[in-house]
Amino acid sequence: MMRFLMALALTVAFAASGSGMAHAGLSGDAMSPAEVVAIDRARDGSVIVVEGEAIGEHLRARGGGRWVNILGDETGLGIWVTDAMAEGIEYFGDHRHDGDIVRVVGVVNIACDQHAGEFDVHAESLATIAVGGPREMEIQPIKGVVGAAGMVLAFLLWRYYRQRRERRML
Amino acid sequence: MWLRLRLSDLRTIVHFVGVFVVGIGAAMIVPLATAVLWREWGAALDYILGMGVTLPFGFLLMHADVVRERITYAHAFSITALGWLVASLAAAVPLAFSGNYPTYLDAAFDALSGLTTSGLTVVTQLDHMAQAHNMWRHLTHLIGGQGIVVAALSLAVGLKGGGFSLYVAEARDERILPNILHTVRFIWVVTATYVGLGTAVLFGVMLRLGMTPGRGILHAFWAAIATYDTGGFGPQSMNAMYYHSSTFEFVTVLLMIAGALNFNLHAQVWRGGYDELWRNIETRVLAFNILVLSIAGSAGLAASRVFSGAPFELWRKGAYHVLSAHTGTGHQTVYTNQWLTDMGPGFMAAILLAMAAGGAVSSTAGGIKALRIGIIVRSLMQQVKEALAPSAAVSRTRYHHLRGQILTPQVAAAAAMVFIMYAVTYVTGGFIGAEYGYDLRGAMFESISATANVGLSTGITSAAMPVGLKVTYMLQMWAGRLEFLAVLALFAHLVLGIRRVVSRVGRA
Repeated sequence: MMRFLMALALTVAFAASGSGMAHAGLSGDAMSPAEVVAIDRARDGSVIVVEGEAIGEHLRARGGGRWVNILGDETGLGIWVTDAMAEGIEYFGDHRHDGDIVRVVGVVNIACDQHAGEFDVHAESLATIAVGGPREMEIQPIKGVVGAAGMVLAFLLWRYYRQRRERRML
Repeated sequence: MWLRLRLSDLRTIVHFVGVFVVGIGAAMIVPLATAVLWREWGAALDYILGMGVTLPFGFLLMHADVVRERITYAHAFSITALGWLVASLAAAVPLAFSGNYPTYLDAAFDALSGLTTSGLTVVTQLDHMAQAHNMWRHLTHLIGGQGIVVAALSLAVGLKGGGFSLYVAEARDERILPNILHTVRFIWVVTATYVGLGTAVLFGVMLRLGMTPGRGILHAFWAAIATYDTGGFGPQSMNAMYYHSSTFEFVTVLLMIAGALNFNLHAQVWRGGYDELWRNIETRVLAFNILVLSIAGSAGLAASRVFSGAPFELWRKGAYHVLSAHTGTGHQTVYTNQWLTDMGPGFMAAILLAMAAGGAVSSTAGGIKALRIGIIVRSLMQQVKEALAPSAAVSRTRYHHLRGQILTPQVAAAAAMVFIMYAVTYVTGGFIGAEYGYDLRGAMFESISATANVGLSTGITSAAMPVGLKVTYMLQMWAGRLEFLAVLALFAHLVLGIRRVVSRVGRA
């Protein structure tokens, strides 16, 4: 409940500020990382709004700051953020977790001069709009039963193979 | 005259294919252990099931022939070609149950891509994949990079006779040590050394980036395998871009170069013969190509006007991708769509040439190979020299590859034949991709990447691509890895067998 309230508060605060959206000149819909990667090259250096799932972990960036990689439509995107922004992310997506869905307002760089020509986004603000959490792990015991039966069969076939071989070799 | 396979020959082939399947099934113990260590119980069941399917199937195939131990070259080519295909289908079983592949064909695509060290992938939700499944994907690079036959030989699993013919059929025609078992064990020692060193250094890089030790060691190990074995898989969908690290790029560059060198060259250097490094025609060709294509590629990037950074940054991006393409690794630090939109025609041309050329023979790299390119160039030079020389003059061309050698017409013809086979396959695959409606440049790029077992992609390769194109790329990866000969031999046997059956039915 607390997490939900926190996410709601952050979303309301972000919407109320409106700075990022106005700056971007967008009507309101955020882009997905896949859309950002395919963005019109004329918008290089402009401010955009992108939403995606934070994945893996935040990584130290050379020269200060952190990298947060976000995912959407099977495409990852590197976001350069401040240490404080990175620390605010609770969950990063991996096999066990769904990562926080974050909304980033930042400058898109097709070939960033500061980061060795990388395609990246330099975040001006980052807000969590949905908190992630543990993923439901489906376990199907039938796989274990079939697998175990198969291994017993494999053992019997191997034993029989050895016997046939020894008999033929005599 | 064609050698006809009899029923007893077929039984021998099936037996040895069974040996490979058992080997693949046994290797699943590693991802199973990973799943247990990481408490990924769902993935653990996938590997129990995988072993439960592949092991009995493999043992069943082994029953086809319980006595024969000696195999001929005719057997070896069919065993190798069929073995790689069936081993890939076996390796795909646990992946198919992972939930990351929409169909079994997709799982088989990744298994074959892993074993052939291509690195093209159709996986979905990779960033949420279990560590055990990632371990298996990368392990396929390790098994396939050294060669399935090498893996089986090193364990001496039922391959007491005819080992060398199988070794040759797997596109490795140079014995490093007099004994074939010692040769394959040497290959594993070299691999263990580079993968071990690479893992240690990359682990330090991961910790410095802020990863936990648990994730750091896995990412380091996988990156070391994927790079040294010139595979190109990664545990994250962003591949090498995920790390945003110049140190990571630098370490992987060293591993790529080590992986693209001939195992025989490694042996010479280990014995103290350092001069072989600059005398060998392969290393000269590789060094020349990489240097020229890196300069040309970086200039192409600069001309594209998208990359306006400092000259060193242009060089870094250009050289990294030229090396990744030339060695057949396939790591990339640009998005797939950027190849066609941002990189410029000059850079694309450099990458296409680098991918097509490939690394050294008897290495983990794919492509036409530097030795063949060197021989073809020398042969052309000799032709020109002979044309200009007096008619009575006799000219000989020498080259150095492990020892001084004289260029004979047979050697030149063999190199030219493989060159033509690769060229025809590159172009054919490109046109097939274009027929499916993809941009010809992208289709050609993907076709060369698949055949030369590189793994760089313009984004065509994905779970969403047509089934026919998936099968086309699978055939290209398979034939390219085995340098066509084993695959052609298998097809010849199949055609002859069908003809025989048809004629018998006709007579009856």
